[in-house]
Amino acid sequence: MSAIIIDGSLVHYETIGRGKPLIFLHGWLGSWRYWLGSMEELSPYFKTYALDFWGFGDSDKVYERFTIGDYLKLLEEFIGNLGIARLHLVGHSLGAIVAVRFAAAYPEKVEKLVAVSLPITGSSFNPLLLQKDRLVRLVPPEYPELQKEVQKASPKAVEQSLWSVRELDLRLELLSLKVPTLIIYGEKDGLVSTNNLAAFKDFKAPLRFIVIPGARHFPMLEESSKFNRLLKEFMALGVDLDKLEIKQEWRRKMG
Amino acid sequence: MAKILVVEDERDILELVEISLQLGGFEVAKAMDGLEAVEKALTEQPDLILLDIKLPKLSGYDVCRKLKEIPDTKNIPVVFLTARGQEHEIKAGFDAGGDGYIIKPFSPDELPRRVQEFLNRFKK
Repeated sequence: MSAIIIDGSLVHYETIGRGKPLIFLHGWLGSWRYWLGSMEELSPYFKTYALDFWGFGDSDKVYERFTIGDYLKLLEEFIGNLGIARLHLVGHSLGAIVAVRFAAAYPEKVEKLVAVSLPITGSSFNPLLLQKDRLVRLVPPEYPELQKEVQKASPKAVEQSLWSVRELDLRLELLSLKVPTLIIYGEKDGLVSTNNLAAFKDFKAPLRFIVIPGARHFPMLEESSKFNRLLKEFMALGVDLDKLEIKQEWRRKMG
Repeated sequence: MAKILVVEDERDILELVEISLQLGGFEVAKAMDGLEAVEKALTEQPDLILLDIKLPKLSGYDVCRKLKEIPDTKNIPVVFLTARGQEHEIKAGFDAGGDGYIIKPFSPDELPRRVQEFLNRFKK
C-alpha cells in the first residue's frame, strides 16, 4: 500500500510491474481494487498504478473535493509528484471522464488512452440509477471484495461528483483528441447509453469504439479476458486502433 | 459572425457539426428535413448552407433546386456534405445547382476552415 499527500489530502494508490507508467482511474463506487486483474495482465509491460480518488477507497474523505475538476487536479499533481512525464491512461466511468478531459488538456503527456463505460453527455446517464443504493446493485455480485470497496465510498463524494457531470458534454473533446483513444462499452450497460456513437463516424479523430457483447457496466470484471486482451493489444503490443478486435484470451492450462 | 444553416436528419451528427462550427466561431441554424431546410433558409437568411443529401420529405438535391429558384435564397451558397465513396453525388449536387461539396469524414478543425474558404470564395 502506497500513499502520497496532495494538497493536504492523502491519496492512496497501488502499483505493480515495471516499464513505462500506466495509470488506472476508477469510477463511481469503485476503487483501485477492480483494476487488479488488468494491472496484473499489463504488469510485464508497464509500471501500472491505480489510485483512489478523494472520497473513494482508502483516500481521504475529509475535504469535499469531489468534482471532475478536483480529480483532474489530483491526477495532475499525482503525476507531477511521482515524476511521470508521459503516461498511458485507462479510466472507467467517472475515471474515464477525468481521463478524456486530461488527455484533451495535456495531449503531450498522454501516449494512449482507454476510456471504459464513458458517459459522453449528461443525458447519456440513466437518471434512475444515479443514486448510491441503486448504483451498488450494478456491481457484479460475484466480487464480494468489490462490494466492500463500494461501502468505502463517501456518499457526499458520489453525490458531488455526479452533480458535477449533470451538464457534461465531452463531444468536442473527443472530436479534437490528438491521442490515440480506445473507448470500450458493455453492450448491456444499463447506466451509460451508447446510442450516439455512430455520429462520430463522420469525423476524423483517432478514436475507436468497441462494444463488448454481454458485458454490462463493468466490462473489466464481467468480460475480463476479452477486456484485458484488448487493453494489452492496444497499449502494450501497439496494434492499430482500426485493427483491434475482440478475442478471447488464450490461456495455457497449468497442471 | 457568419451564420451557417446545417441540414442533417441525424440529430447526433447535426449536433457534432454544430459543435465544430461553433468552435470555429460561426453562428449555427439547424434543420432536420428538406422542407424545414427551405423554410429556415428563408427565415434565417444564412450566409451559407451545409446540406446533407439523404433527407426526409425533400432530398438534398430537391432542396437545392428549390432554393436556387427562390429569389430570396438563390444567392446563398449551398455546399453538399458527401460521404467518401459516394463521389457520384458530387456531380448530381452540382447539377442541382450546388456551389461546392465537403467530403465526410472531416476533422473538427477542417470543417470550419472549409466553410470559411467557401464563404471567402462566394463573398460578393
